[in-house]
Amino acid sequence: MTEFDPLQSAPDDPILDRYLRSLPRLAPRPGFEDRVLARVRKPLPMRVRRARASLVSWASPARLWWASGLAAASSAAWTVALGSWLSGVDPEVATALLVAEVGVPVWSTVLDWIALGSRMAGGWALGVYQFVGPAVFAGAGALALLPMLSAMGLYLIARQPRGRKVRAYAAR
Amino acid sequence: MEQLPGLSTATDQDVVRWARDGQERAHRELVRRYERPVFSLLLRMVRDRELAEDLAQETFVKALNAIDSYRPEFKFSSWIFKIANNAAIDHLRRRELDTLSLEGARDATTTERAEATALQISDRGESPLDEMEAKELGSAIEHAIGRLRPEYRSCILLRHVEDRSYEEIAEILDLPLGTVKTYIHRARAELKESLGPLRE
Repeated sequence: MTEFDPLQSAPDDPILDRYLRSLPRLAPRPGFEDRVLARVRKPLPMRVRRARASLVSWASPARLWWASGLAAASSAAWTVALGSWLSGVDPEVATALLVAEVGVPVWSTVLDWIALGSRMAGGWALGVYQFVGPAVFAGAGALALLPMLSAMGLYLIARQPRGRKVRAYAAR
Repeated sequence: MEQLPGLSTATDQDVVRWARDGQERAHRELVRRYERPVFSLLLRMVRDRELAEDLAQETFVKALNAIDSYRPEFKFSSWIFKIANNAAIDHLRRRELDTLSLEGARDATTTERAEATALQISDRGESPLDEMEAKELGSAIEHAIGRLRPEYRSCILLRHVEDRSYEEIAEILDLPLGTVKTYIHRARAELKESLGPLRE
């Protein structure tokens, strides 16, 4: 490629050209790369970016409207069907049926889990106390602080640097 | 982890592609390639080493955080210089600056401040007499460049330090090609006049 030489159009001055060409490139302080990269957002893993891109490409406005409509229609149909069935049934019978078929099993399961959890927690606490003695109470106090400290740490790490948005180059 | 063969010899476009894929080593390579050119431009524009480094950091952080918006059909170097020049011009519009000094800004009141605002020129192995002469004339040329209007200064630095073509400078500064040529012509005339006493 023939390069247009500005020296042909600018005032001819070899001395000026020599000193302009001798101007050095200057360097920032050592560690500049690290300081920059510490402030750059970490990109998402490639598989997450691909999944997000696939979802975004699938989720056209038309498809989103269709999906929302189908969800609303199925919810309405189910509600109407249940209401129709219940309206034809004696209220007392319906209530007894719901309690027997749904309420009792659910509540029994909840109670079982609470009992099991309590037994496990109690057994674990007893075992720890027997192992470490009264120091377990101090340890328990420290553990209670951990969630709060972890939340603060996660917030500080995840906080993104703010900056002005850069417009796409040459997008005029 | 994906391998990045020949990272240091890869083209800018390849490195940018890897950076967009999330490779931190590609980010580091882009910073390594352009930290000196960008910093040099900014230092000669704003004439404060600490400020120039802050602006250079901002330039790279903006560029790398917005790497997905970079359009590969354009040169990466033009893009990064555009961001850097805009940062310098934005800053210069907010304040008046003194003339450039190799010994430090004239408003420096402490030794530390004078050192922070002084230009550091690397030793190129010249004899003591050559070095002294080069430093004196170098100081004069830096002074003269510092007295140019920011638009002229950008053009001269991009042309003579970064060796960019007129077309590329026009892209970077978002100016017509004729305007770039005019600015360089006028800047050279002003520099020639400023350096007049030292040329004999």
